[in-house]
Amino acid sequence: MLRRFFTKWYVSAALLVMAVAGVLTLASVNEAKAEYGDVVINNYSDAAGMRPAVFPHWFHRIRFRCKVCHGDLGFQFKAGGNDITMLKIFDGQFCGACHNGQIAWSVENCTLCHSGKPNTPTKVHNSTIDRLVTPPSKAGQTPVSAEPAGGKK
Amino acid sequence: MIAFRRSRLGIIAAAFMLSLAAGTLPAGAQDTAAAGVAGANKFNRLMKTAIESNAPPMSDGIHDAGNAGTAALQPPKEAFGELPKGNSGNKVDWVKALRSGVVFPRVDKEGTKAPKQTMDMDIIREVKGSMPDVVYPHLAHTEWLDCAQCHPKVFVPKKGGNPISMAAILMGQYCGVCHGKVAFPVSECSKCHSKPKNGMKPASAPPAPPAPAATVTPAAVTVPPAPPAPAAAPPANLSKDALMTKGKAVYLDNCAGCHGENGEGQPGTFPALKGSKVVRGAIPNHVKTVLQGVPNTAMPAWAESLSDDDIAAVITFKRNSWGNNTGDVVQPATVKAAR
Repeated sequence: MLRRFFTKWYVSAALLVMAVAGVLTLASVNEAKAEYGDVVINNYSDAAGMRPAVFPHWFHRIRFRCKVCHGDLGFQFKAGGNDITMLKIFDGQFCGACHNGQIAWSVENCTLCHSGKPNTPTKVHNSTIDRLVTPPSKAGQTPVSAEPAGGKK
Repeated sequence: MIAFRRSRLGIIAAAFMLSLAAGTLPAGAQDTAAAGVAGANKFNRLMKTAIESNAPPMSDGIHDAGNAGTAALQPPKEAFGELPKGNSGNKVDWVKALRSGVVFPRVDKEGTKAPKQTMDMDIIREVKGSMPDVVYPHLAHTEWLDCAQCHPKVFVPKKGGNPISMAAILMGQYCGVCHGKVAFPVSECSKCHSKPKNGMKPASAPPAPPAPAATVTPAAVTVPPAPPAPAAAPPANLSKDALMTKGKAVYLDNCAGCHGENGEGQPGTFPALKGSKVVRGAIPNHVKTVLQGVPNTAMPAWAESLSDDDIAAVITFKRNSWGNNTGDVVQPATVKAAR
C-alpha cells in the first residue's frame, strides 16, 4: 500500500520539490547561526580547491588570552588581513606557532580548519556589521581621517 | 481527468509553499507566524531571523557538513555549559568566566608565564545627548590584553585624539575593533553607558564605580588639526622659561594620560618620568625615545605628530620637573638634527 503510494509520480515530485526548496531556504538563513566571532578565511582556499578555513574565536579564548595571538603572534585585528598561507604556517608563523604537534595538533589535520562551505566569504561571521539590514557602503567603511586603528596591513 | 491532473499540481505547489515557509521561519515563531500575513506584507520583513544560538558546527551554516573533520569539532554548547551566562554574542560572560577561574586562558602560548599585573583605572567619557556617560574599565581589558594591542594604534594617546562615535564603532573602529566581532556586541548599551548623568536617575544600568580616576573630555566632533609642520628655516633658540611653559602644555595634552600629571606613571604599567633613567640620562637618547617611541610597548613615536618646538619644549620640561633637576635646555634645533 505504502509502496504504491510512493510510486505515484506526483508524490515523489512533491517530496523532491519540498526537499530542494527546504535546502535552498535553509542555506540562506543558516549563516545567521554561525557562532559569534567565528572567522572564515577564504583568501586563497577557494582558488586552491580547498574548503575555506574556519577559526573559532570562542574555542581559542577559553585557552588563551587575546594578547597571546594578537600580541605575541602578531595577528592583526582584521579578518583575512594577515595574509596567512600554509607556507607561513609550516614555518611556525601565525597558526603554526601552536599547531605544530607540540602545543596543538599539527597541520596534517587539514579538514579540521579547512571545514567551511565553499564560497563562504572572508569575514567575522555574525558580527554587528554583518547583522545590519543595509550593508554599509565600501566608501563609508574607511573614512580616511578617522583611521587610527591601523586597519591596513 | 484534467481536474485530477490539476489536483496533482496543486499538491506539488502546496508542498513547495509549505517547505518554503517552514525553512524561512525561526523555529520558535513558526506556530504564530503561520497564521499571520505572508508575502509582501509579512511581519519583520527586513529583520534577520532569530539566531538559534550556539548551533553545532554541523548545522551552523558556515561549516561544511560533508567535510570529514566537521564532526570532530566541538559544539559551542558543550564548551559553554559550565561558563557563566551572558546576554548576547556567545551568550557567555567572558569577564566573569575569567575572574571566577572557570577558564584559565594561557598568558603565553606555552602556558608557562603567570598573568601580568593588570591596571585598574576607569576612564569616564562624557557623551552628548541623554545617554549615560561611558565608563571604560582598564581592568577588564588588561586581564585579556597588553597595553600595546590598543595603544597607540587603536586609541591614540592624545587628548581629544580619538573622536569615538557609535557610528565609528559600528564600522569596526575604536571599541568596534573587538566589540561587535568577538567581545560583547554594541547592543549591550548599558555595559559601557553605565554612569548616569548628574541629576538623572539610573536606568537599569549597573551601579557606576565610585570616584573616577581620570576624565577624558567629551568626544570631539572634529579631528583636531594636525600640528604645524616644522618650519623650513632653522628654528630659533627659545628661552628656558618659554620652553618650560610650552612644554608643560604639550606634556599635559600628550603624555600625562599614561605618565601621570606629575610624572608618577602607573606602577607596573607605565614608567614614571620622575627620576627616570631616560629623562635624567643622556639628551640624545631622550630625544630618540620621544621621536621614535619604544617598540612593542605603548610608547608611540611622536616624530609625526609633534613639531620640533613641541618636542624640545616637552623634553626640557620633563628634564626640569618633579625633581629631575638636570638644568638641561633642549632647543628645537637639537630635535630637528635628531630626526
